[in-house]
Amino acid sequence: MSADDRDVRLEELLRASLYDEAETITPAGDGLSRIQGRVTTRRARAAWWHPMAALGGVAVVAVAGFAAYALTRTPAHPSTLHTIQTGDTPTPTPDASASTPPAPVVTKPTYPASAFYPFTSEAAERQWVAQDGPSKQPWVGDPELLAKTFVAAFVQQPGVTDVFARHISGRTATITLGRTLHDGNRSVPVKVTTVSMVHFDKAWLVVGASDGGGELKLTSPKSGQTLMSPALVAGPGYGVDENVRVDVRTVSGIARTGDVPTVAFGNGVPQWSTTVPFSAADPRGAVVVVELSPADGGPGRIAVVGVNFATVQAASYPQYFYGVKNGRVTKFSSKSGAAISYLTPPEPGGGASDPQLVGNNVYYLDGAGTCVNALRSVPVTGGSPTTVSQPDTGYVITGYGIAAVDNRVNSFFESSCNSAVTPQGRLVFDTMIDDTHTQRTSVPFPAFPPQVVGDPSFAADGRHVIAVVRTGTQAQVQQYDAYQSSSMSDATSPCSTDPSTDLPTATQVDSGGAVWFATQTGSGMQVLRCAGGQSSVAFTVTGTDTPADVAVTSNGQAVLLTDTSGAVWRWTAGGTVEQLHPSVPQPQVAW
Amino acid sequence: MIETLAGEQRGRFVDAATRDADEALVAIYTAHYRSLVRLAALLLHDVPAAEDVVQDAFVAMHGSWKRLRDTDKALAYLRQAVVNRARSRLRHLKVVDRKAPALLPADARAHMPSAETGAMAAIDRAHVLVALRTLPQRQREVLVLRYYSDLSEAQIADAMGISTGAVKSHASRGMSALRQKLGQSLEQTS
Repeated sequence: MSADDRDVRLEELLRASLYDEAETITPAGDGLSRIQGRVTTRRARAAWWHPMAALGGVAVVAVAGFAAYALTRTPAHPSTLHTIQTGDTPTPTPDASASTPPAPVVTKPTYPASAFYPFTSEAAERQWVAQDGPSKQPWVGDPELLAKTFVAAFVQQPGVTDVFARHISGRTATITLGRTLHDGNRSVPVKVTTVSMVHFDKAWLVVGASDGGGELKLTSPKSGQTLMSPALVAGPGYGVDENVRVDVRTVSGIARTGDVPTVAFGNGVPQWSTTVPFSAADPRGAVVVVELSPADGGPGRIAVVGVNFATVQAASYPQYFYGVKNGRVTKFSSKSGAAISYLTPPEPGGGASDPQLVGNNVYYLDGAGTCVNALRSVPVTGGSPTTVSQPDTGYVITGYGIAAVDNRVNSFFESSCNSAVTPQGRLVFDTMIDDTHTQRTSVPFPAFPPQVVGDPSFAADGRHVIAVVRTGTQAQVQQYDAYQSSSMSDATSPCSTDPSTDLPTATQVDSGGAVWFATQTGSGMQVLRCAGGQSSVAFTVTGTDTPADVAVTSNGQAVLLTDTSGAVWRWTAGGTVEQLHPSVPQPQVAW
Repeated sequence: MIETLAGEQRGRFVDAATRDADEALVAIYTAHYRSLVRLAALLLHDVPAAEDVVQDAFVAMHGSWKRLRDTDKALAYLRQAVVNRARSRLRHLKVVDRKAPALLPADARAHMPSAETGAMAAIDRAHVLVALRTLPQRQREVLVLRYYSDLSEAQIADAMGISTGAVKSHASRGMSALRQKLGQSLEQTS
């Protein structure tokens, strides 16, 4: 062994020894409250001392002034000399206030400058209180529940629910959350993030979250920084082979306007960075950075920095949407609903339906006679259509979804043209394994009902598929694993719905993983946004119409809703719902 | 501007800078408290004392926030405060000899896993820790800051209040001393 080898060995050994020893050291859980208690004590002492010091200073000046006065002037009437004025300084008088601090000036508490969840302003919090929010949403008043809700709904990591540490002290709180990491045969509890909160009025407010291990940090943006699009997001590098996903979010949804940036770093890279274009409807929000564990793909570290946005405006919506006119995929104006151009050629005896925009292509179902169709795509600029997938012989595709991750995976629901055939339907998953070969798996639906209605939609991971499964008079939003589900029962329910009042009919997942679905209620149509298992109403259209399709922009900031008669409504976050008037009915649209 | 806080702090004077300091305190605590306690514990060999030192440093940082106003500066300030206060505590209270057994037993073998668990690496590490304890204080500080906190020479110099040249010198002498103390086991386990 050479001297150099020994040096390297010693360095490795020393580092490992110190790390191992450090790992055995766990501070007591009351550190923050002890520090805050000492700060409070010191502050109270300072509040008492400062007026006294000021009085002392005035007294010194007064004594000095008196001495000067006495030395320079012979008083005519010494007995009338009671006070000496020194500039504007008020004369100290021996009253009770001289020995005690003055009564505090009570002013209204100020909304925390960096708080962004679940409220972005004092007005929002006050409105929540006025609307009996504390009793209706008690989780806002409980820091632990708020932290869990924040990580599930805002950060979109619903699996991070184990509480590792809980520090609540008066006005501030930190909750460390984690999960169980499954690595081979091992199950390891891991801390993922520490959510920091401050108390205001009746609510706890999230001001940020950090990686408890201190590895994942952001040098840009700083907490409370005002951002203009695109946001520069950067942090120091660490590790060997790391990947982080970066997002810009607000309480209204995803503010990012492009794909989710993924940044790879490690192996000595001193800094990682990326830019994220965004359009925010709220004045405040946060930059969210999630490192996924290479062991199981789940979240390993989460850091969230609260920011302000430079401009506040209603979310914009895409300039065009895509529908069908005269059996051809057609580009329409999102503002007026007017048809602009055809993307596909005329098809006598057949025609296009159910367009979906993914990347730079519009996918659609191309019918070619009775019970014959195929999934095709055409560039958004128009051109020659390409066949993407075909149903099994004797079946016809009734709905489909394309994984936005790399467009190489699609899923469709096919129904048998012969009702006597079993299975009567299949949820099919096609994965392109190279340029010419596809691997196909499916979930059989033996007899209708139950069956999939509307289009299935891929979750953000490109693996799970969300679909509305209708069972008689009821329907549920279900999630299937494209690589593991083999029967109807291999499904989970990602969103809570009330089967007695809600009838989901269409769904789509945005690129942030939020599941949007349209339901028919007794009084109209609702579009709900579901994140972290919790659903909230985005907007409502009153009437007796039945939703046919819902199209969501990748950032979740704008939605098109159609009904079965072909009417179209446009909604934008922070804006209103407006009905469009295309020249022909559009039961299925995309943007 | 004079404001008061809600709840139990109502009536106390808290200006905007203090509020920033409160929030910064929580954020920095969350991100760095544990690693700073561990750093202090590696220097002091006494976990409760390490916590005291780090809490002192946080209180001082809070008081200096108007001057710091930056997380990176605050972290550098905290490291420096921790090193200084740990050194001060070792010097004045002479806790090293009294307290060391609580964390690092003099007999490293008492710290080892059993042979059945096959912990040759752990044996080496226990030897290293024992050897490290025998080094002069400055050498020990430099090596802990370098190999546990992963600080650069400039950052170590800043934290210890010495020049980078002195950091290099302490590091070199410390490693040389460790090499001598561990020479045999380094050869054996290679």
